[in-house]
Amino acid sequence: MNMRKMVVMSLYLIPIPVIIGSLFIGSAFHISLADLWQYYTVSHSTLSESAQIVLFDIRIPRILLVFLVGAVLSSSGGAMQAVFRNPLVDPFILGLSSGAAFGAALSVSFHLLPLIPSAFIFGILAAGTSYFAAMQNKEVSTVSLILSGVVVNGIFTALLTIVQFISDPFKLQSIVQWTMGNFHTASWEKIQISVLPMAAGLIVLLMYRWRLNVLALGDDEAQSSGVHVLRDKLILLLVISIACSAAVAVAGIIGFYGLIVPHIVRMIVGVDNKKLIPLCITLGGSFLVIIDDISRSLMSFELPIGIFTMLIGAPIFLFLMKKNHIGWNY
Amino acid sequence: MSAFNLQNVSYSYSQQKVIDNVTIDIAQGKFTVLLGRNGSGKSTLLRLCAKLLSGYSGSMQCLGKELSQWNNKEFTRTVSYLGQHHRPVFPFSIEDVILTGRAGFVNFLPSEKDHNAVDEIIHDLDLNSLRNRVYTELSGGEQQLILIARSLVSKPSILLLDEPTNHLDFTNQARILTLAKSLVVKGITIISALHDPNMAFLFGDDILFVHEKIVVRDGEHTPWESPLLKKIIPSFEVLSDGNKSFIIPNLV
Repeated sequence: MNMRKMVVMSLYLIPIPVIIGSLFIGSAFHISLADLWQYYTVSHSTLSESAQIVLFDIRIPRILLVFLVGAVLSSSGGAMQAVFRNPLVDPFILGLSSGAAFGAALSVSFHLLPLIPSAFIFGILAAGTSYFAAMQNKEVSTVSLILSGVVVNGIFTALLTIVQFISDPFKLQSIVQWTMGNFHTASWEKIQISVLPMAAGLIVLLMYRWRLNVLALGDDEAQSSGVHVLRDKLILLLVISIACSAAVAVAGIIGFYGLIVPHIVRMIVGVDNKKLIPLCITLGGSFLVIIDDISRSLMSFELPIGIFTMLIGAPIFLFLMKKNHIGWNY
Repeated sequence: MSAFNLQNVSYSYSQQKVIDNVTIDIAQGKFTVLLGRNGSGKSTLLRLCAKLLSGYSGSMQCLGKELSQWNNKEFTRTVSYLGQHHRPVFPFSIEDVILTGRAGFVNFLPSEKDHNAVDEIIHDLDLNSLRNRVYTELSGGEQQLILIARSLVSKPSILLLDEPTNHLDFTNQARILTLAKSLVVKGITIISALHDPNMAFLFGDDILFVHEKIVVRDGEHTPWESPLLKKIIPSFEVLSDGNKSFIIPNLV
């Protein structure tokens, strides 16, 4: 029991070594912990100017952005699975990612809006469309919400295909690159734009973490024990959509991450959302930082992170699924 | 003061009337049974009483106060509802399941007091042996016990049960209804839908017949002699041993 508690406690602290360790990973400059120590304790001149730029203007903002995006996608995925009472959904189920991809493509090809706002707006638009399409007599059933999400997803994917079809090869390439995840363009500016919606989303999810347990039990059960089900679901879907649209707008589509991480965390601490959400934040953020470390140091050129989350995340997930007995009923 | 007082209550699900002009009074401190066949409107009536349905016509009072006047949280601390067919998805621990019954007291995170209430109810209902089990892996009867514990953890004065013995074996049916009866002795009002007439007569203090959208009480006859029972069950025989009477299907 105590051993287990220690393990869980250390999982909360895991971001610290992961973030610090990642500062020294990269193909361009070999900066060590000792170098950084000397920089702060001895003199700023111990690091060359270009090393300082790499560290402070490239690596640090990138690591922070990756961490935030990973935390947002995983905790949103965990919360969505509770809200929908369905372990198969992820934050993109309402069509948010294809909406954002279409918005990004529009911006790349026709320059109507800058890329990040365009992706963000169309992400929200897609999720909102799904929600209102599913609404009947002021009620929103889970099944109709998932169905309308699938349909909206299809619509925006079709629209994206049109834009890709009529774009020239160079624009097409940048659209495709964008959709596969693009942390190589991370910057302090991107953090500035996206930190507010993402942090607000994380805070609301942390506040609602226990109430997710009540919602996960069923609508009647939650309503009859004093939870305003419709209102709570709307608040949660709204903040999740805003936070995830912001994450997608700055990072591109990192597929299946929001599906896989909550399950991995459940295998460690169980299904109680009170523990699940905080650990989705710390582990989800850290794990994506590690994957990003691999994607930017494995080869001389950088592969998009979306590929690695699938190639690394999926086998780990399948392995854990085989190894752990999870008590899913269906 | 009555637990519930309904005056000319009607309710429709998208055009289709399911409760038609019902006027009935349900007393406090009793085990009231709603006896009726599948689809007779028992569940709708209970869901109306649990404040889960809006858009009914007529007047519904709970403890002398119109339902619409009740503050939601206050209501859920007074009236607990346990629905039919609960399908659990996530393998929660039983403590987590019971704790969700305290949502009416909790703003965002449950307090020490809420956890204590869970401990107390686990002790009261003698559920310690289930404590370290996972809810989805329990048997139907055990799950129902946990859900009853969840309904009681908010310390309500009225408990609404919708077919609490559905899908349970004979022993578990008796176990659940005996527990319900013992709660009534402690002063809790129970209103329960049942479809087994013998269980209803054995455990119920007050039988309400629910038939074709209306709810009626027969004050004149014993339940098994009531003409209303014949409406619900057209063909049956009564077996009597002097003290108790049971009905069995008419075997042709």
